[in-house]
This record gives sequence, C-alpha cells and structure tokens, in this order.
Amino acid sequence: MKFGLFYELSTPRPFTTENQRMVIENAIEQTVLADQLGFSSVWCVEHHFLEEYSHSSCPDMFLTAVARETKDIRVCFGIGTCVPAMHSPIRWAEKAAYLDMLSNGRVEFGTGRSSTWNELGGFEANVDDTKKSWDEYCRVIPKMWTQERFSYEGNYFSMPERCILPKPVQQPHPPMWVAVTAPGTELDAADRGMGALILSISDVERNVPRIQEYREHIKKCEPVGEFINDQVAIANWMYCHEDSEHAKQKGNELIGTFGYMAGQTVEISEAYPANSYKALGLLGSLRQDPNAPGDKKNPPASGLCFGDPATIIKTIKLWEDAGADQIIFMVQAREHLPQEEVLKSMRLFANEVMPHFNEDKTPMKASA
Amino acid sequence: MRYPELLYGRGDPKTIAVSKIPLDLKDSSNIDIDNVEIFYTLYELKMSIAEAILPASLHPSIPALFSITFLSGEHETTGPFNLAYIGIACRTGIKPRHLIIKSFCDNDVALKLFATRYGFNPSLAEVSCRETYDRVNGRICHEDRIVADISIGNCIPLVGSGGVVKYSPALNACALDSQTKLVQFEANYEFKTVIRGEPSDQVFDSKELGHEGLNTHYPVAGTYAVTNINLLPARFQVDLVNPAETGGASKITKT
Repeated sequence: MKFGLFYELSTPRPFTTENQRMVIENAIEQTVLADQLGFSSVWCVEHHFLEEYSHSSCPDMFLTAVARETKDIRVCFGIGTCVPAMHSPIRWAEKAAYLDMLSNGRVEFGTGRSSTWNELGGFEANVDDTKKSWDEYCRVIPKMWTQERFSYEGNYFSMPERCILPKPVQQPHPPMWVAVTAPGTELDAADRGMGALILSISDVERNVPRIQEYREHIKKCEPVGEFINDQVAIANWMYCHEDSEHAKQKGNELIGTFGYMAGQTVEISEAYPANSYKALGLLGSLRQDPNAPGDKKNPPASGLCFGDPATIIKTIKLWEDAGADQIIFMVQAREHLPQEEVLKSMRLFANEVMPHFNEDKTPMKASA
Repeated sequence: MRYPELLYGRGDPKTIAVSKIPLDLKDSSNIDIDNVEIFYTLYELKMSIAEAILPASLHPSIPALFSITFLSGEHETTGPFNLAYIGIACRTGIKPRHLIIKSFCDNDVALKLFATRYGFNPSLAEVSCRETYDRVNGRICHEDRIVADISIGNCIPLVGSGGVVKYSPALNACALDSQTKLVQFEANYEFKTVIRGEPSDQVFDSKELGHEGLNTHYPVAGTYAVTNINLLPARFQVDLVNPAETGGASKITKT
C-alpha cells in the first residue's frame, strides 16, 4: 500500500493575493514534509473557474514547484483535461515530459475530461465529444513520448510529422491514469491498460466490485501505452489525531467545507444533459440535495481516514483487502484547519500508521 | 451570523413580486399528472444581474444562469393547462434552486392550483408549447403581445440513463404566516422521452419576462421532455434575508 496527497488548492474568499499565496505555499510545505515522511506521491487536479473549490488551473506549475523542493515523491497530474478547447495533446505530452526532466523521472500522468458547466462552458467546449476526445488523447500522448517523430490524423486532433520534445526521463514513458468518478469509467481505464484513479469518495464496500471488475478487465486490455499500469489509487480524506472523536469531528468539518464548495459549481447534468454525462461527477455526487424529491440521503462513507492511528489502520486494512494499491489523501479544504494541525496529522500518520503497511516506493509502473 | 466572504443576492426584498393568492397548505395530497411536456431552456447571465435580483438569503449560481420553463399537461381537476415561468439559478446553502421572477398560465383553475400549493404568481396569458418535426417551440402571449417565442432545434435524443433532466426546484415568493417567504415547488419526475437542442429565440421581451437585464446571448441548452409528474405538497420555506446556513430554510409547519 502506498500513500499520497491530493490537492484541489481550494481557496477561501476573498481572493486576495495573501489568501491565494497562502494556499499554494502551505500545500508545498505539506508536500515537502510528505517527501521527508515517506509518502509516495503528490497529485494535483486541473480545474478552471471553480471559485473557492479549486484554484488549480495549472497543475503542471504546482507540480514543478513541488518537484524542485522534493527528492523522491512522485509528481502526478490528477488530472490533465483531455478536451481540445482546453489543451492540445501535444502540450500535455510536452509538459509531462518537461516535468519528468525537471523531477528526474517522477511523473505520473492522469487523464480526464471535466464534469462541470463552469469549465466546459467557459471554454465553449463540445460537451458531447469529451469522452471521444479523451480516448484519442490517451492513445496519442504515449506515442508522442516514445516515437522519435510523430504525425497523426484523427477526429479531434491532427498534426503533421514533428519531433515532440523533450522526451521523458522514464522509459518507455510515465505511467498513465484515468480519473474515475462515474460508474463504468474504471472499465474504460482497464480496457486501455491505464491506472484507475478513483475519485468518488465513498464506502469501501461500494468500491470492492469496481476494483474487482477493473482487475478482471485489465487482464484482457489493449494498452494505449507501451506498458500496462494496473494500479488502483483511491482518493480519500485523512485527519489523524490521538483523540479519535476530535479527529472525526474535524474530518466532518473538512468534508462539509468541501461539499459546500462543490455546491457552488454547476454540474454538466444540471445545465447540459448529455448522453456522455449520464452519471454525476465527483462534484455532483458531493452536492446531492437531501431535501429534493428524488435525491437520496447518503450514509456516511465507511472508508474515510479520520480518527486516531488505530482507527485509521483498521480503515486502511479494509482498503487493502478491497484491492487498492494506493490511497491519496486530501488533508485540507479551504484552509479550514490551521497549517500546523495538518502537518501534525501527517507526522502522526507517518509515525503510527505507515509502519503497519508495506510502503512500496517503487514507481507505479506495474508490468512491462 | 452571515459569511461575508460568500456571494449573496443583493436584491431588495420589497421588489420581489409576491403572490396575492394565499397558500393553502391544508391539501396534503399528492397529484399525479401523466405525460406532462416540459420545455426548458437555460441561459448564462451576468453575475451582477443575478446578484441584483436575488434576495440576501440566496446565493447566485456560479456561473449565473436563468431558465425558462414551459409545463404543459392535463389533469381531471384543471383540464389542459400551460404554465410558463422564468427563474434565476441560485442556491439555498448547497442546494440548487431557481427563484421564480415571473410566471404565466393559460388556465384559471390550474393557475389557482399552482398558486395555492406552491406560491406561483402567474399572470393569465396565452401559453403554448409545441413539438414539430424539427423543433420545439414555446410561446407566451400576454395582453395581446408576444413576450416570448423560443425554440430549440438540431435536437438529439437523450437515451437510457442519460434520458433525464435535473430541474432545480422553483422557489416562489408568497405570504406565509403573515410574512413573505420563498416556498419550494415539489415534484418527482418519471421521464419517458427527452430530447436536447440548441435554443434560439424570435421574441424575448426581457422586461415582460421579469427583468430588463436578462438576455439570451449565451444559451446553454434546451430540453423537451415527456414525463409523468408527481406533485407533492409544499414542504420547505426559505427566508428572504436569513440564508439557509444560518437557519433561514426550514420545513413548513402546518398549523
């Protein structure tokens, strides 16, 4: 079992220079500590226009800053949006390879397609085509890294022959991942030989069949890259404190804050009903309305890592038994917790919880 | 306590049109109406306009949006009816809602039903919703003048589990316990068919539709659904000044 950190860079209003810098600097300080404590990875989202919820519009820049302040921790795009209106796949291949150079081979490249009207509407993206463009990006980006010269003629992207530079440090290329929120996307990941970055924060039990199906499907995959990345990473929350009740209370406050911020976004399914967005994304699932007819009340998720070390160890064992390879934690939301408390929680987790698990620091590349 | 850092409406509560028809909360029955047609178009809006319209208890959606909804059905108690309403997207706490700023209805009995159950404040008008071979059209004619003539074209079907529309419940300003409150439209939907298209408008009289600041420059999408509707009794009220986060939203207590 590996452990990582996951960053949305949620920022409290008002959006002053001080607040914005505080969020970024605190996050970098956490990653530096995480590197020293033996955490394996830092993941950073890409979001646009999501006021408060996420000011992480340039994950490559955040991860570059982290890479230059750390030694071992892996720097992971969680995710890069594969939508033509936002990015060319060439730019993703270049940025990931460039960061692989700057971090000396520590990049993981997560892919996805966005699920809010704020973002897709803001870029005037074609909502109906995001799944198809994502598929095309997943297939061309590894080739841009591995082929000396690359040309392509597709439905959502074409280019004449060019040498895309730099080439990554990792050979044959950085591991590829897919953000999984909607049910079934884990199978899309498996079919392409890509890691599943499961972002639907929920119970362990709900994820057991997803992970099992992923494992079965990936045995028969046709990998988009040069190798299969058969890893499952679970996004989660963590607040570790000697007083378990205090930790749970603070944890619930974090989730409440996070859900409140998610509530400020407009899901695609609310604004632009589409066959390609049949299920709620992460943000939508966080903002389900318990008072609206038709919406169901969600029980508290069983897999959250809030509590004293013994409680968290038990929870992580559940995830381990479920087949997760890595848990990546959100440790802060809108600077709700004082920075010192976050760092203290991370230290306690590293000292008391991590030794109970076989922390594997090898790169996430699974099988050649 | 308010959270000064959040976005709130800054509208004057006195300018919000309040239904003159009193709510009747005695009727606690559900009403089922089959094969209701719902034509719904959504547009982006300047945040400053949304803030100017919404009262202090509501947060504007981000981005700011407004909707036009046509609801056409037939029930044994009302006969055939067409109801149309214009809403500003907002939130009470985390819950997405639409504050209704104007509504129209073509049937006296239905008008009274929606007014007494949910606080709608419709003007009597000619309202129509038609599906043709290549488009869906909604039209409102008020006092012999067309104030809205809206269509969606280039429609595609939404199928399987994608064949649903997530309508945010409407909030209507009305008198409740001698105070002006926002009362929520409560309905469950069982979708039969849904198509989505690109909105366009031949007539859009923003002033007559509730606010001069509305415009259709940035349409988001439009849908036309055939659905069975289950209308529930009103359950929630929202204060005009006090937001949900500080107790401004609560269940209606029937006395």
